[in-house]
Amino acid sequence: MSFLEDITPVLAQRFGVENLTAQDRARHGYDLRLALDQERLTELVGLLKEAGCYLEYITAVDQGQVLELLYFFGRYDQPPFRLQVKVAMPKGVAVPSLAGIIRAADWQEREVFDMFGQRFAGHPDLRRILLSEDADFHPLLKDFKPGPEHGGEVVNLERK
Amino acid sequence: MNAVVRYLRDVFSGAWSLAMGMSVTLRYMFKPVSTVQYPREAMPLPEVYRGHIELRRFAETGSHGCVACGECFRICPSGVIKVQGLKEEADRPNRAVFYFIDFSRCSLCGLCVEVCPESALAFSKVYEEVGVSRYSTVVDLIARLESQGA
Amino acid sequence: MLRKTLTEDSFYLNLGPQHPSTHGVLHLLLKLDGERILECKPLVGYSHRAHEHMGQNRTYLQFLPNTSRMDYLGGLCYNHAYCLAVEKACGIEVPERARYIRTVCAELNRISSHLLWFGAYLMDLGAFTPFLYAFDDREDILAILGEVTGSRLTYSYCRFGGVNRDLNQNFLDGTKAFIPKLRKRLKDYRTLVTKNIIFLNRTKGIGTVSAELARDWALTGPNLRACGVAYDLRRAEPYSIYPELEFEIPTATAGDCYDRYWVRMAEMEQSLRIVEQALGRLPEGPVKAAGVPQWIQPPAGDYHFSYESPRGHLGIYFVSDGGRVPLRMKWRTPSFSNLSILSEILPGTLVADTIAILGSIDVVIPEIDR
Ligand code: SF4
Ligand code: SF4
Repeated sequence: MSFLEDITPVLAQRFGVENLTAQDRARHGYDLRLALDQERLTELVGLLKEAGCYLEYITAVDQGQVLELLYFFGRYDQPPFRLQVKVAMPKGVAVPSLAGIIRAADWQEREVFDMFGQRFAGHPDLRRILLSEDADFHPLLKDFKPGPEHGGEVVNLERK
Repeated sequence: MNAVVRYLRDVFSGAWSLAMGMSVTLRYMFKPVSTVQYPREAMPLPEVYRGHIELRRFAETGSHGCVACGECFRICPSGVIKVQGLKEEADRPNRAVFYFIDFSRCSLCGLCVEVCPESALAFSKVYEEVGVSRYSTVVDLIARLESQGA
Repeated sequence: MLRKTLTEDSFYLNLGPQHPSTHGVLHLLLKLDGERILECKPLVGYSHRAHEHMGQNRTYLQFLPNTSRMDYLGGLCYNHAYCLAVEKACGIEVPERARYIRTVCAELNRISSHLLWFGAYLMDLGAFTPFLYAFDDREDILAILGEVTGSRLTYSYCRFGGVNRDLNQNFLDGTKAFIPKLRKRLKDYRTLVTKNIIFLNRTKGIGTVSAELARDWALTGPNLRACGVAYDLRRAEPYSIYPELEFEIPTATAGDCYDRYWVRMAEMEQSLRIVEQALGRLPEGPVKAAGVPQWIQPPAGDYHFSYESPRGHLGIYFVSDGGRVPLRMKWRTPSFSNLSILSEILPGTLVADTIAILGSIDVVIPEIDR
């Protein structure tokens, strides 16, 4: 019995069957996608931590009005298991921080904050991590246009 | 008593480690030297070495073969190529009249060489170029080819 | 270097950003009580080059040269990973020969990365000679790889659907001669370093990480295997030709600096085995799939790919809207997670051990900063 078969009914029961989508691992690289409300994030992560998962990374995708936060969880054993947790919400809404549950989330959340300006409620030390401290922009948002004020010159990439 | 034993053992094992290490070092002392005295000798460059790009000279025409199709300009990730062509004769393809490249931003990735339909580009084997300002890195490859003589 | 005195005995010390033992521009802000560390804050980002942003404003092929610049020690592995990720998303079949060639080159690259780490680590610990030997061996690998890729660090060798050049005779001869040579050298390293009492005293029992702690901090790669978890993506989520090859996953139990060292040394031997096997079975045929478009357009959707880089779990995640340019390009680099554990394991140790622990984690700063 693989971990995937074990966890799927648990997740479906607690977080709703309609939120859980099986993915084709051979193509997309992960097994399950769980669309989640941000309030239930800590509950889910507590469960995953108990179950022996590790936090691979946190990232986000800017979809215009909505920012999609993506959390990837994996496991150190065979057969492989990978879960994508997708939290979509309007920009500017804070999400509960996971740094208190999984330590690896500390830096990952700082990176998302740095790049997307997403705030994490309860993060112990939410500062910029990769960009300089006095930067006033979030470069991976789609409305960010690099200009001379961000240092360096802009290469005009004219192409079709 | 115990401390004395431990001390002696430490001394002995330290000396042993040292002797073993020295034996390896000594063995290598009589092996050929692997350092290359760089400015005086140079390492052989591999056949496919990727230096900065240059236009190839074709023996038939004695000149470059660029038709200014713009493929390299489009694929260059850094956007450092600027090529301009001119139609010299009605039934012949265009011919590039200038081909500017800014070496300081070129990442030597080689995509332009690969993409060129005329195989007009090649890697040079020069890696020791100097200039006095950042503007000396902007070079017209056609003028450069011509100045190098036939 | 002293910033300000807090109380009579505790003070801040800035280790880096320019420090020979931080291997690049890493800044550790240490709060010290005499020689003992009370608190450690790693500060990163000094070599941030916006690779993810670049990935989102250029096409898939144009981003390829960037990949080897993220981790300059494992450039070929990163190329390989990126090509595998895109090929998987587009469903491109890679010819058999190309898959073998890529694996051979990636493993050679892994060895060269470990060799550099070995030399630099020993130099951090104060042993100068192994550094010279390691660089001599590494030079051989760079010359061999240079024969086919034309470059020494930023290879850009893999292409979507294969590699851009077939192996030549120099490469094959060079590798054949190199394998026994490195085997002999590894034996020398054992006499010179692994059994050396000074080295043992400086690394045994220092910077211990338990398997549980490692999971909490998402450690991967040799650092995790040193804690006794046999997690190697080449086996856990096999890609390329790894399922056909025989090799072991070296693990240790204590999770201290010595074990991390030992795991990497053992890994080099396994990599040599892989190279030997793959070269022995090298099939004939084309090295690049025909008909791969220049402007690749993966079908809309999101794709994840995991790769075992020399430093651990490299995750590539990209979102495509069906166009030529990805909507999002995310790289999960292993050193980023591996480094963050420092703030947990450093407090309580001595400054001299900081260098031993930091070195044993094997971080590559440009990979963290991206
Ligand atoms: S080598 Fe790469 S960066 Fe340089 S000009 Fe050619 S395509 Fe542009
Ligand atoms: S791709 Fe070749 S022929 Fe076309 S413009 Fe560039 S150098 Fe000239």
